[in-house]
Amino acid sequence: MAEQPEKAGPAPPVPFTFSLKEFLGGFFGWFLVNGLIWLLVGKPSENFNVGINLFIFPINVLALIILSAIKRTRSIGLGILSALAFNLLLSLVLGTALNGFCFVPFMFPIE
Amino acid sequence: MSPLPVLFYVGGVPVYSHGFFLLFGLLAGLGWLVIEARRRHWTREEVIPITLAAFVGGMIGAKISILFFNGFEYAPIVLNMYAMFDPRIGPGSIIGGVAGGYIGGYIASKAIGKDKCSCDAFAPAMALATAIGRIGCFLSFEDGLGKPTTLPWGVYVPIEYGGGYLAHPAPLYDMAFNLIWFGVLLALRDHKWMQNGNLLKFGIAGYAFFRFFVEFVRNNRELVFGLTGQQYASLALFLAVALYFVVKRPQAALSPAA
Repeated sequence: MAEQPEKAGPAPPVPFTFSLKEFLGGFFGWFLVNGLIWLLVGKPSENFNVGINLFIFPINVLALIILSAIKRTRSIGLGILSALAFNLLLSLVLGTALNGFCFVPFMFPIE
Repeated sequence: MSPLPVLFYVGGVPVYSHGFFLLFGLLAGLGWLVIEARRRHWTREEVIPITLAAFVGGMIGAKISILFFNGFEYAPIVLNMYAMFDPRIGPGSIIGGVAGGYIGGYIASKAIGKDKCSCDAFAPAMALATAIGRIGCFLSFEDGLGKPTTLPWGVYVPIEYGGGYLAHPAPLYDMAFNLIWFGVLLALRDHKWMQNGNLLKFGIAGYAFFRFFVEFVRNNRELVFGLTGQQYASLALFLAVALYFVVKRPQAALSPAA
């Protein structure tokens, strides 16, 4: 009796293995890419351009979500997320010595 | 009582009350989160990305919400991604931070393929962090503290802080509520109906409910019908959670613990 060929089942799920190299790539890569953008578009923090700034933020968030959702690139996504968190935490730490209110542009200025 | 915008000096460098207690509150909240996560046997692979995403989402939400609460004239600052990291500007609105933190944590949990919500641990941590952070808001007399009052616990706001009268100590109301709410959430954390994200939603709804009413004694900008942007946001959050519980109630009651 001829053997029945095995039916091809679904591909086994790709396990997530944390990669330090990819994590560091995502972490420092975020600084590299955004640093270049910051230089090339004329330092948007100083010369505000609505059009460009409306793209930079969504692109960053989309890249973060997509890279985090795909298991093979999740370490890179974690690196990017860590870069954002690091930057924000640093701003809070430095903010203890630099600003006295919740949102400076509309609060009373500290002398 | 006089304002205390600068808590102390370190080598001539001022340490501002607002920033100090904001950071202290976040660290205290993080510490409580770690305690709760261990108690609930979260794995590191879940805790780290969800916590990071909730933090980043919260900070983004806090800044972006300024656009709706205070007007589009702040777009050059709020919509500028790199200005988000400027330490001179400050974090923004807490109600926006709560919403942003929830969205960030939710996206992260879905991205890592978590089918159930491992987020209830955030609820008491959020209340604790807010309670501590409000100390800084009070000491710095942020927003001029609150609207004028003749109540015996009114605090005198100096003219240079936009006052010259006794004002509601609104940050202290917020602090008191969040301390009580922290206790309530701790008491409810093991209840069968407060699992799988329900405790966090309940926590958010409770704060939103309180925030709607405390806004009447704060000095935030009114938008439409005498209500502030923060009140509309609080109303939206509360109604969203209430709707969720009404629609999902039978499933929420039967859902197993996360």
